Amino acid sequence: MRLHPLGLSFAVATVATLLSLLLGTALAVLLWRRRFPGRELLDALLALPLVLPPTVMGYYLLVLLGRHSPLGRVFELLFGSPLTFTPTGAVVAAMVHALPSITKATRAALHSTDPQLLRAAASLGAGELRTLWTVVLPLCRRQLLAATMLAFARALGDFGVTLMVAGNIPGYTQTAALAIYDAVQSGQEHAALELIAVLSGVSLLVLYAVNRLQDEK
Amino acid sequence: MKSNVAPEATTTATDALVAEAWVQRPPQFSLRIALTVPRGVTTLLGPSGSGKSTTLDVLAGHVLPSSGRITLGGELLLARAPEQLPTTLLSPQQRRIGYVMQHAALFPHLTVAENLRFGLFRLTLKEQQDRLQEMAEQLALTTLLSRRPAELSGGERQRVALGRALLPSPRALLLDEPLSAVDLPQRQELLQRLQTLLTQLQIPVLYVTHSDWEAHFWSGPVLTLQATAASSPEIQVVPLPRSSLQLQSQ
Repeated sequence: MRLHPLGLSFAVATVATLLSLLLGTALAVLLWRRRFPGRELLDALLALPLVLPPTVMGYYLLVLLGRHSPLGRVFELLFGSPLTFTPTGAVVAAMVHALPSITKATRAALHSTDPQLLRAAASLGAGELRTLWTVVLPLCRRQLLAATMLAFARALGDFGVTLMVAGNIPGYTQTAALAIYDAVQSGQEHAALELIAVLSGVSLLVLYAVNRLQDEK
Repeated sequence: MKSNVAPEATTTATDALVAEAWVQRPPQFSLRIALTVPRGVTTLLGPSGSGKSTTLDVLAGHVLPSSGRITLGGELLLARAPEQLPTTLLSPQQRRIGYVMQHAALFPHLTVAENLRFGLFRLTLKEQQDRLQEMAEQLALTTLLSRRPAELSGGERQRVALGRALLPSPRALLLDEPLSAVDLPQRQELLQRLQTLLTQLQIPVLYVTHSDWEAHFWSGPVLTLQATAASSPEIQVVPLPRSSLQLQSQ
């Protein structure tokens, strides 16, 4: 089955965003509530994609998840196909942008939780998980939604990491961002403009919605 | 020292809340807590910044003192020697001490009913509903159950906070300036309601206030906190008069 670059991009970004929402929220909660050895390192690692060139992140992922790496082998054993140079690889690449974005925004939201509410919940017998689930996360839902939408836009726009980890295989791992590059290189301006218009439109829409969400507070 | 405040010293002390603790946050803050709260309402009086809220936070388990010993009805909640880790430390969840905070601290995203029910999660829905109804009637909240905290007056919020704290049947109750966020006309009414409710309770109640008038409204013992030498680098907060506390425990 040949996948249209836009269809692939949206599918990859959606899965990457949902996975990042789960993992990113868990990491944000962990960094918020717990002191453990390596906490600062984890914090720094999560911020790394914000400063490193995408090709460097991509290279690390290739080394970490490639077919000859232990993780890559385990994945291939479990799922029957390699992780790199597949749409799954593109999901991992998109998560490189989505995960830090969600973790950062969620941590800021968690830190803004009124400590009196946490104390009230504890004095009413609620453990950490119950408090998180019934008080903290519902109170952060607006920021979580904004963070998720931004993460989706960022995941949609990745170029460099995807190229390194998933390659640029038309109809299989070629996302819209990669297809635009190919189209421009081969002089197919019309095809490029179509993709450019859709990506720009969606991104603008997301940013507009995020601003509206933040203004409503 | 500790024998002076031993729980068996009074007739009601079998369920008394007894605390002797130091809170030190170098270089600024040092608070010594030594009090016995027998069954009934005890008032803790002191100006703002004198350590009243910290005292309640220590009793409720939200602030870990540098050293001390807290018991409730003879059960050890905290034991910590100076510069040691606590040998006994019950979490706020395990202490079962109701806490009504100064600004009510209602969960803003939950309705009045959901706030009231919050501490009843171990009960069945039916039991929750029955107890909620009963408490709502006692506190005149039945018409407000579907509202959110933002739609309530200061007095209504405090009533919800009180009901929420009482519903899980706490073994002691702490109230941090429950009238401070309430409009003057509502204060008298709320105070009457508190009186009716709190005097029925057969548990130690510690009522914190900075108002002499409120402190003397309650007929129970009054403990006084006094901040001294606020300009010195170490604010020494000493509960006075200690003798009146001891009277309670003799």
